[in-house]
Amino acid sequence: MIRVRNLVKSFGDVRAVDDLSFAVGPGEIFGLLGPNGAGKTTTISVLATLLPADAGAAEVCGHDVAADPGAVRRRIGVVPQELALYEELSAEQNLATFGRLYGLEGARLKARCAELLELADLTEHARRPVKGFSGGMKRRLNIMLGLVHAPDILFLDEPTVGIDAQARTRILDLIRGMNARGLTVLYTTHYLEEAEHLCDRIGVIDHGRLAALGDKEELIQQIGEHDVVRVQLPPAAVAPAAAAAAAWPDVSSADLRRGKLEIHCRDGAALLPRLQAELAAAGLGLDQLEVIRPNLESLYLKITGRALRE
Amino acid sequence: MNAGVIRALVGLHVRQVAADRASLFWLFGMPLMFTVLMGMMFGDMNAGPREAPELTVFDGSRGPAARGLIEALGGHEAFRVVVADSAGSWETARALVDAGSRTAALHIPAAFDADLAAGRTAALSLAYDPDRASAQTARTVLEEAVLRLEFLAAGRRAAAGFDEARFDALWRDPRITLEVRTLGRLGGEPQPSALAGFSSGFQHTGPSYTLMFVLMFMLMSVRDIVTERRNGTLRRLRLAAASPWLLAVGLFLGPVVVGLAQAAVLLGLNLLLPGMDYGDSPGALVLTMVLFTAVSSALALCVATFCRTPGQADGLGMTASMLLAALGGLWWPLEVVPGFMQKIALALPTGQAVTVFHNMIGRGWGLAGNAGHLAALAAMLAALLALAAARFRRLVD
Repeated sequence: MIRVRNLVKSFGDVRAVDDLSFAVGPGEIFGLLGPNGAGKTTTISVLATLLPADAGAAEVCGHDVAADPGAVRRRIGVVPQELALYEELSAEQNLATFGRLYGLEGARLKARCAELLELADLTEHARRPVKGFSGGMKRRLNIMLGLVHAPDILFLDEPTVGIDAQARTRILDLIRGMNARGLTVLYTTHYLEEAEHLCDRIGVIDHGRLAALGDKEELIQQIGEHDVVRVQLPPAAVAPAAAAAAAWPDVSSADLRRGKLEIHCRDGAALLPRLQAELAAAGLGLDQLEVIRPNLESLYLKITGRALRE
Repeated sequence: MNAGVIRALVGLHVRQVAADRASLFWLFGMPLMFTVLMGMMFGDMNAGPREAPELTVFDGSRGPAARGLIEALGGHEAFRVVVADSAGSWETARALVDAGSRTAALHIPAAFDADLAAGRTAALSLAYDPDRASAQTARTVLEEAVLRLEFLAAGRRAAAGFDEARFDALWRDPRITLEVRTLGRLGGEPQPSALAGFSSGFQHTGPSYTLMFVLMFMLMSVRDIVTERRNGTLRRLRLAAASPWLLAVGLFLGPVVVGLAQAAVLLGLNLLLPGMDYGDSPGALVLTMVLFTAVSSALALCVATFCRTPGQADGLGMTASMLLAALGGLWWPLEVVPGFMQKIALALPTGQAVTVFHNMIGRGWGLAGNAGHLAALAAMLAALLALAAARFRRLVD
C-alpha cells in the first residue's frame, strides 16, 4: 500500500528526511517511532502530497505521490497532530463539511456522518459545538474527519498527544477496530508503549534516517539485545555463583550489580530451571528473582544513544 | 466536483460566521449603531424643534440671476435665508462664520450675472462651520438652489421646456461653480464642490458605514485564516479541496458571500432612516457592492499571507481597515478634507466606493456616470487577486 524509496526532504540546511526507505502492506498498522524532530511528520506530509520530496520516490496505493497527487489524496485520510477542527461548529457540521469537500452529498453524506459519529461514540453529542468537548472527544472527532471519505490508508500523526491514559486507550481501541475492518494505518508516535502494543511493524526513525525496522521481536534480534536475569543471593554466595553462571552455554556475561547477581543471556526463561537446580545443589536459598526482557526503550537507547522523550 | 468544493468552502465560512455571536454583532449590530449615531451627528436629525439656522447672503451682483438664486434658496425648512444689506465681500462672509456669529455665509460676486450672461462659468463662495450642526444642510440647500437655477436656465434656453441632453450636460459640466471654505477646527482649505445634493446625514453615514463595516469584518477575518493555518484545518482543507487554487477561490468567495449579505441587510435597513435613497440605479448599487466586497476579501487574503501569528493578523488587519476607512472618506464626507486628501482617497477602494454612493445619492448618477470609479475598483480587485495568488502558497504550505 505504501512504498518509500530513498526519500530525502530538506528545509534549508536541515535534512528532515534522509534516504528513508520502507514499505507498508495492506491491512497493516505500521508505526514510525521517533522523538520530536525525527522526521515523522515530514514523512507523512510527503506521503500525503502536502510537501514535495527533494529526492527519492514514494507510492501510495500504486500512485506516485509527486506525479499523481490527486489520486493519492482520494485514497488516503490524514489525521494531523493538531486538533484540526472547527470549534464553533458541531461535530456533525465538521464531518459534513469535509464530506462535502470530498464530494459526498445528500443521504450518503448523512449516513456516513452518522456512521462515523457512532464509531467515535459521539452520536449523543453530534449537534453540540466542538468547543465544549473534552480532549478525548476532540481527538476522536479529529480521527473521524480523516475517515469521512472512507480512505484505504489512514495517516495518524501522533493522535494521542496531550490526552489522559483512559482517553488514549479508547483511541487505540478505535484504531484497532478500524484496522480490523481492513484499514491500513501509518501511525507516528513517540510513545513507546503505543508503538509496542498497537503496531504490527515498527520503523525507528532518528535524524530523518531509518535506524531499525521490523516487528518487536525482529527489532530485538536485529539489535542483539539480551534478557537479564537478576537474582538476590546471600552476599557470600554471589561471587562463586557469578563465576559458575558465566560458564553456562547461552550466557554472555554474569556479574555483581548492586549486590545482586545479573546474568545476561539470550533466553532468560529457558535459563531458570538450570539456575534453580544449581542453586539447590549448592544449598543456596533464592531470596528474589526477576527476568527483564528488552523493550523498545532499551532498544531505542541502544540505537540512537538517547532516550526517546528527549 | 469543483463547484461542489467551492460551495462547501463557502458554506463552511457562512456556518462559522453564523455560529459566532460576536461575529453577528460585528456584522449587523455595531454598524447599525454607528450609522444611526453618526448620522444624527452629521445630519442634525435629533435636534428637535428649534429655530432654523441662518444662511447670510452677500449679493454683490444684484442682477436677475442672483435674485433667482436667492429666491430658490428661500422657503427651505431647514434654513433661513437672510440677505445682507451691503454687498459685502468674501472676506466679510468668512469673518462672520469664523467669528461664530453665522453658521454659513454665501457670497455672490459682482460679476455673477455678467458671467452667466456672457456664457462664462460663474463662481459662488460659501463659508460654513462644519462643527455646527446644520452647516452641511446649508451647503446642501445651496447646491439644490444652484441646480434648480441652472435647470430653469437650461429649460429657458431650450425653449421647448425640458431638454434631457442639456440637463445631463449641466450635471457633468455645471456653469456655476461653488467654492466651499470650511471653517472651525476642520481647517480652511477651499474645496471645489461637486454640487452633490445631500439632504440628510444618514445619506453619508448609511453607505459609508456599511462599506466600513464590510471592510472591517473582512479584515478581522484575517485572524481566522491565520488561526486555521496554525491549527491545521487549512492543511486539512487543502487535502480535501483537490487543488490549492480551488481552496484559494473558496477562501476568497466565502467572505464575499457573507459581505454581500451584510451589505444587503445594512443597506436595506438604512432605507428606514430619514432621507435615505440610493438613487435610481440598482445596477450601480449592486455592482459597487460586489466589487467592493470582492476587493475587501482579496485584500484580507493578501494580508493573511503576510501574517504568521493571530496577533500580527489583529494588528495589521485593524490598522489597514482603520486607515482605509479614514483616508477613504468613510468616517466623514470627503468634501470636508483638503484637496490632496481627496486625491489620496481616490487611490483607495474605500474612496472609490463611497464616491460612487455619493454620486448615486447626490447626483442620481448610474452605471455610466460612475464607470470610471467602477473600473478603478475592478482594477484594484485584479491587482489584489494577482498578489493573493502569488502569495497563496505561503499560506497553505
